Amino acid sequence: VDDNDGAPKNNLRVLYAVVKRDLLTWPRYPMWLISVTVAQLFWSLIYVGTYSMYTGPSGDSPTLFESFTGTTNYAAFVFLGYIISRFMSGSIWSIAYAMRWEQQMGTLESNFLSPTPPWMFILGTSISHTIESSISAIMVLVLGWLTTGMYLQTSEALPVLVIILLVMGASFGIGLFFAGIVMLYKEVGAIISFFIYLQVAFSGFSFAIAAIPALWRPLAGIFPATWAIDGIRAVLLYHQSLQNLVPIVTNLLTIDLVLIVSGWFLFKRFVRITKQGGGLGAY
Amino acid sequence: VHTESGLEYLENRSLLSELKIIWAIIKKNFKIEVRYPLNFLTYTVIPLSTIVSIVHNVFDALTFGPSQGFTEYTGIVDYIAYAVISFNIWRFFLSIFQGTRQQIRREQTQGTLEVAYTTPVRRWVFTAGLCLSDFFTFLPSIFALALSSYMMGVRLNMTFPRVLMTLLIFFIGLIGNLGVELIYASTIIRYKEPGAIDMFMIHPMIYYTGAGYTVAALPLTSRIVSYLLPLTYTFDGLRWAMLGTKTLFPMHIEIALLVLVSGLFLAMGIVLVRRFERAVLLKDGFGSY
Repeated sequence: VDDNDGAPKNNLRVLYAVVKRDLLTWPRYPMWLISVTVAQLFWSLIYVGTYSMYTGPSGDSPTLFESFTGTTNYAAFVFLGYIISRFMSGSIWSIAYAMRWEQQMGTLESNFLSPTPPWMFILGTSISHTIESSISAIMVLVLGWLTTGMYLQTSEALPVLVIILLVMGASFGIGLFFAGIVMLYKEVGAIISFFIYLQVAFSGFSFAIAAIPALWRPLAGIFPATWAIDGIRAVLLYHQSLQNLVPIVTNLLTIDLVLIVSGWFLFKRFVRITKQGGGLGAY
Repeated sequence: VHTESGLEYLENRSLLSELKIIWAIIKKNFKIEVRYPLNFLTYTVIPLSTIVSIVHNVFDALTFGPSQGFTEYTGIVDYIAYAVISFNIWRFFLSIFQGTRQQIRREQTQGTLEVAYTTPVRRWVFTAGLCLSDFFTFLPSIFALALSSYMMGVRLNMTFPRVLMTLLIFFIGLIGNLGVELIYASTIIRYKEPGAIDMFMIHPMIYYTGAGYTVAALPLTSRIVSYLLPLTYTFDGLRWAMLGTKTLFPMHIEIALLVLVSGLFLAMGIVLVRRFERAVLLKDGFGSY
C-alpha cells in the first residue's frame, strides 16, 4: 500500500487531478465570482474609509501615515497589502480545511489508503488556490482603480511573480503544519484563525510597521506576509530597483525553506500519530 | 408519537414556546462547541483571534495618529479608545453572521437540516435559533475582551443612563441584525456555498455600516445605503453611549430610525426565509448541498 509505483509521473497526475477538481468545484457555486471580486474590494475599502475619517471632512487633514510611509496613496498601500494577506490567509485555510472537509465527508481514509503521498493532495490544493487568488487579485486591483482612482507602478512588474511564488511556498509550509494539527485534533478553527489574525495583525497590510511600538516590530519580521507585502509595495508602489528587492527576497526565501521543511516534518509526524491512534476515520 | 407531540405543539404555540425552541437550539450548539475544548477555550473563554484583531486596530490607529480630521468627525480625541470599542462592538455582531454561516451549513452538510424542517416548528424560528447560536457561544468572551480593552487604556463612560442606553441600543440592534441574518440565512439555504455569500454580504455590510469609522466619512452615494441599515445606527449609538462621540442624527431620532429599520429587516427576513424555502423545495430540496 505504501509503494507508489511509477512515482513522479503518477504523482503529477494526482496533482493535476486535485487542481482540476478544485478548479471545477469553485464555479459550481455561482456566487464564487462575487466573493473573489466585490467582497474583496469592500474589505479594502473599509480601511480606505478609516483613512478618510482621519483626513477629516475637508479630506486633507494631515495624518501620521504620510510621514511613516512617504506616500499619500493609502488606497494602493492597503489594496496591495490586502491582496497578499488574503492570498496567504485563504491558502492556509484551504489547505488545512481541505483535510477537515475530507474527514467530514469520509473520504480522507480512502485517500490515505491510496499510494499517493498525502502531501501531494495538499500541494494540489495550494496550487489551485494560487491560481484562484491570482485571478482574484487582478480583478480586485482593477476594481480598486475604478472606485478609488489609486495608481500603481506597473512598468516593471515581473518581480511580482517571484514574490507570488515565494508566498505560495510559505503558505504550503504553514498549511502542511495546520493540516497535521487538523488530523490530530479535528476541530482547530480557533487555532488556525489565531495564527492568521496574528499574521494579519503584524504584517502591516493596513498600517506602517514603523508606527507600531518598537517592542513589537521584531515579531512582524517572522511572518512571511510582512516581507511579501514589503516586496509587492516596493515594486508596484515605490517602483524600487531589483537591487533593493534582494534583501526582501532573501528573507522570504529563508522563511520559505524553514516553513516547508518543518511543516513537512511535522505533518508526517502528526499523520503517523493519528494513524497509530486509529483516528483517521474519526471526525 | 412524533405527530401527536407535533399537533400538541401546534395547538399550544406561543411566543414563549418559540423562544424556548430558539434557546434549545442555542443550547445544543453550545454543547457541540464545548465538545472541542481547545477550540472553545481559544474562541470563547480567551478569544485570542479577537484580541489580536483589536491590537491590529490599534496599530491602524497608531499609523494615522491623532488628527484634526478625526476630532472634527467624532468630537473626541481618544482615537485608540475609538478603534478598540468599535472593533469590540463589531466583533459581537459579527459572531451572529459567523454563527448563521457555520450552523446552517453544518446542518446542511450533515443532512440534519431536512430532518429539522420536517418538525412542526416554524422555519424562521428554527433559523433564528441557528443564527443566534454563535452569538451566545461568544458572549462569555466579554470578560476577556473587557479586560484586554482596559489594559489598552480604554475607559468607558459608565454613568447609569449611559449604561442603560448601551443595553437598549444593543438589544434593538440585536433584533435588527437578526432580521439581516434571516435574509443571509435564507440565501445560504438557497445558494448553499456560504463562503461566497459570506463575503458578498459581510464585507459590504462592514463598509456601509461604519464598523470602524463614522459613516459621515463615506461618499454621499455610500451614505445613502448606510442610512438604510440597522447596524449603522447600532454602531453609531453604541459609540455615543460608551465614548460620547458625535452622532449622525440627534439621539432620539437615531433610536427611532433604529427601531424602524430593525422592524423592517426582521419582517423582510421572515418573508424571505419562507420564499427561499419554497424555491428550494421546488428545485432540489433541503437534502441537497
